[in-house]
Parts: sequence; structure tokens; C-alpha cells
Amino acid sequence: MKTTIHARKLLAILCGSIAFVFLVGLACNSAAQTQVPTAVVAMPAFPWPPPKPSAIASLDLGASTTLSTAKLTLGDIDDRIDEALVAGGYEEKSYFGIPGGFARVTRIEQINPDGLPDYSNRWIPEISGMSIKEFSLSKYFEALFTAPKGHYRIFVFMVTSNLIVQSGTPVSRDEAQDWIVEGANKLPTELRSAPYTEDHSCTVYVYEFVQPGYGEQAEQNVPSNITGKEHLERAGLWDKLEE
Amino acid sequence: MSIAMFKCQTRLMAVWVVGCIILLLVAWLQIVFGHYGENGRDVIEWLLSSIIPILSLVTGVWGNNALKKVKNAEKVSKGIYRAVLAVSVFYLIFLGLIFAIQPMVARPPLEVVKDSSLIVAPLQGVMCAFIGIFFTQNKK
Repeated sequence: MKTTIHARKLLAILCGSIAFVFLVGLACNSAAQTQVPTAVVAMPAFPWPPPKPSAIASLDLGASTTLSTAKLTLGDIDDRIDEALVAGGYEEKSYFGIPGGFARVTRIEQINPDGLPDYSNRWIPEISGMSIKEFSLSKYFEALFTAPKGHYRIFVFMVTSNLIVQSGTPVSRDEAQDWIVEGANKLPTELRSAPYTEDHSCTVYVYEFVQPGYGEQAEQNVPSNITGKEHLERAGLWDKLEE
Repeated sequence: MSIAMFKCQTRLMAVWVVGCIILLLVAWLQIVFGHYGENGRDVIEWLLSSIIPILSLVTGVWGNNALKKVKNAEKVSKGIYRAVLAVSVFYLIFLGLIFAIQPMVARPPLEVVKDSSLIVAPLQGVMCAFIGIFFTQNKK
């Protein structure tokens, strides 16, 4: 008789415990679902000092006629860069924090050896066949007899009040092409509203890579065969940035 | 309708010699300019195995007939001659296309050449059959 009473008590305690655990779990779950994440995600940092570029260009954005009259912020400078980049076909944004400012990176693009974008295969990071649309006999014979090569480029716009001294070591294509997905989608408000002073400058680092054949590792082309300014001109950015 | 065998063999040999010279020249230039990197030898081996058997047969038979005193006694059906000529031209153009399409495809040139063997081998068989029929025709 006593054993039966004990067994019933034990069963009641067990059922009660299960019900308690279930209810607590349910409460925690619903609380987690309604909770709004409040943690601030830090802006990713660009490798600093920056890797050795293939070419460099300096932009005088603060002195341009349309911007010089107003009290400039880093946001205004970013808008100016954004306008030029969007016009040039670079619509993806990737921002990094650098000491004293920010860096903006473009997606890796396939270019011709002369620096003009290879429009038919621009966003393909692999050696591509010649397109019928852009057929020319000189290009055809060049491709028929010479080794197939891939040329790629990434622009990094750095707006900072600090000195920029590059690290001296080149960067691999795999590492550099990940910058576009590793960066932030926009500038934080505090950085956007920060004033663009006389100490600030906008420097463009051009990273150019050459793939010597199908399936082969692309190497950084240091120095590039053309200057940083020529890279910007041929990408259709220079005129927009210097307007 | 028949035509002198030696005349046909001369034309056929001319087509083969000219075609092979062009193909070898293109392959050589590609190798010299580094189109295949370090794999140039593989391409030359592939090309020679595709053209040399038929080229040597055509030139050998022509040479043998050229040494004969009476050259135009043997006749051959014009239809067979035209068929052999057409197949020869098609075969040589096909080999040329294997080089010509390389800039248009996004694949390593050596792979394009090697994969084409799957079609070149049976084509070569058909080519040999036509040449064999042609050379065994003999209307006096």
C-alpha cells in the first residue's frame, strides 16, 4: 500500500517537473523571438597598413567646384564617390574602417590589358572566351596565337586624415576579391557626419591581377603597366570624380 | 562520266598538301607564341597523327603514278572523285575549326584539341574508307 503511495508521489513530482521545464522553455523561446537585437556591429577594418598596390591615384575631391562651397562631411565625399562609381557600373558597395576615415572597395572586374573593362565578361573572375558582340580581327588573332590571360582589377578608395603608407607586401587575388563581401553595406552615421577637413585626402589604390592561364593562380601585377589615373580614366571614373 | 585518275590524284594531293601546310603553320605559330604554354608538343603530336597517315597515302600513291610512263590511261568515276575531294576538304576544314574556335571558348586550348579527338578519330576512319574506294577504282 505504502509503495503504491510513494510511486504515485514520484510520478506526480516527475510530471510536475516536466511541465515546469516545458513552460520555462516556452517562455524563454517567446522572449527570444520578440527580443530586438541591440548590439552594434563594428565596421570591419581594412588590412592596415594597406597591401602594396599596383598603381596609386590621388583625388582632390574637396577642392572640386560643386563641393568646395559647402561645409563638407565624409558623407558628402562618399556620395561623390558613389555617384561616380554607379555611373561607371560599380553598383556594389563595401565599406571598411581605416584609421582616420574609411575605405570603399569595388568588386573585382575583368579588364583588357590596356585597362578598359572587358564589358562582355566584366564581372566574371575567370578567363573567358571572346564574345561575338565584341569581335575584332586583331583581338581574334591575338587570342588565337598568344596564351590566354585574364586581367582583373579592384579599386580601393581611401578617405582619411591619416598618412597612408602601404605595407610593401602584395595581396592575393582570392583575398582581395573577398573584400567586396566582407565590408559593411554603408557608412555609419557618425562617420558620415564627420567633417571633411583640410587634413583629409582621397587616395585610390588599384590592385591589378594577371592570371597566366586557365586554372592557374592569378598574381598581382606590381607595378601596373598603366598609372592609377589611367586606370580611373579607362574605367570611366576620372571625369566624374574630378568634375 | 570518268576522269583521268592521275589528274584526280594530283588535285587531291594538292588539297592535302596545302591544307596540311596551313594547319602545321597555325599550330607552329601558336606554339612559338606560347598559346599552349608548355604543352605544344602534345598539340603537334595530335595534329601529326590526324594528318600524316592520309597525307602519306595520298602523296605516296601520287608519287608512284608520277613515275609511270603512261599516266592518263587509268580512269575513275567523276562522282567518286568529287565525293573524296569533298570529304577531304571537310576533314581539313574541321581540323582547322578546332584551332579557329579556341579564342571563342572559355576552356584551355589543349583541352579543346584533346576532346576533339572523339570526333576526329571516326572522321579519319570515314576519310580512309573514301580514299580506299577512290584508289581501288580503275576504269581502263
